[in-house]
Amino acid sequence: MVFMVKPLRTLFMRIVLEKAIVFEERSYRFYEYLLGQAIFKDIFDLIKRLSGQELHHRIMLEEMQRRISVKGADPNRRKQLEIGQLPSEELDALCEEWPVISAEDSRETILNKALHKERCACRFYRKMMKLARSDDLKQLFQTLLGEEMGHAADIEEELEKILH
Amino acid sequence: MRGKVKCFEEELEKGESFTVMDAGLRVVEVKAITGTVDKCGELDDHFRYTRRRDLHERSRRHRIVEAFQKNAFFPPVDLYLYRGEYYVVDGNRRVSAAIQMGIAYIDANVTEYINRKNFIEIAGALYRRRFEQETGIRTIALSFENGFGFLRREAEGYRETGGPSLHGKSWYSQLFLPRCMKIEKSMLPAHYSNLRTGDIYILVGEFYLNFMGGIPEHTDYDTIISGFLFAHGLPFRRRFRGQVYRLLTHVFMHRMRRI
Repeated sequence: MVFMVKPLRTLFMRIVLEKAIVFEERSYRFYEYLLGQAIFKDIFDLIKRLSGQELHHRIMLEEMQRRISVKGADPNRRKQLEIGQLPSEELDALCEEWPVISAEDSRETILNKALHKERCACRFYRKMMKLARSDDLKQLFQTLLGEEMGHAADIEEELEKILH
Repeated sequence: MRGKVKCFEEELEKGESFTVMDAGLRVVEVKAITGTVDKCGELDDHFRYTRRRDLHERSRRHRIVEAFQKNAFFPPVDLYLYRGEYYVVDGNRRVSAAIQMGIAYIDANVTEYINRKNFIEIAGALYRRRFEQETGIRTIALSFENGFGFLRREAEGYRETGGPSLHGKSWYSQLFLPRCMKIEKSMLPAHYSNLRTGDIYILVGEFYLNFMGGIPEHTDYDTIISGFLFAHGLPFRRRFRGQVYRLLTHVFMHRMRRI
């Protein structure tokens, strides 16, 4: 177990959230790219919904980060928003580069790449949820986890359709 | 040598027919008043007479300026609105005094001229009239008046106790104005220099409506602006993404792995 002084924990919480924001931004760009691809016209609505939700996740994370950063905020409130320990392994997973999509990639390959990243996100948010001390943070990560799981299920369903 | 104000007759497109609409009493930005209707060639660009520099005329204008300085009440001026610019029908001296005093806004009875072939402009004017009638708000100016349709729907959905007009006023003071102030402080006006703040407000609102079904609730509008900038690939600042924070994370992550 690694313990850190409180200001450092708060700082790292903000950095962790920033990394999650970067992750969501990459997800959004990934789906945004797919929106422009002709081979995905039949699942346009699904991709649009997924990209919209990734943007929503980014907004939720930034809002939480903003609440932590607000000067003069209630110290007890800020304390509650801190997390106990840095999830270093999960952060490493987040730091991975988003897979590059090439023109030769089939629909199946691209959907598999998307599924892989959605599952990474699930693992990350699950871990974060366990580590979060405040109800607000737990709830945020739980919501994000639930939605990422939903995304993974939607992509799996689409893959099933392609394979069968 | 000073220029002259625009002449309404000269600006009006020749051989075209127009729809004339009473836009009612409204607050008008003085700098948007650019011409005159019946004093063509007689006024300089500060609405002062160029030829009749007699004592009587000077004295009248001086009296109006003095009255402005004493915060006296003046009746609204009468203006024609054509292609986003205002032309004085009655009240050239009051406008001149307002310019001299550096007054930004003036009350005016406005009549609007719209080319009958310009359906977009006519639709915009109708949207604006409906918005103003239902909300009682006449101070919002848009470059693209079709946006009033969006504002009306938003104001309508803003639930507060009171009559329909009060709904609009609560929406205006509690939602629209604070958000517009945040837009003005953000990087958005620099990216959309051809749009007014109200137009940018609509742009952001419509983006979220089309993409996510609306602006997420309980979210600071600065976050909403940041999301919009990101989604449109426009530059935005992220403090915790700076080199210092990257270095800090790298160092501490490395130490933690060793532990």
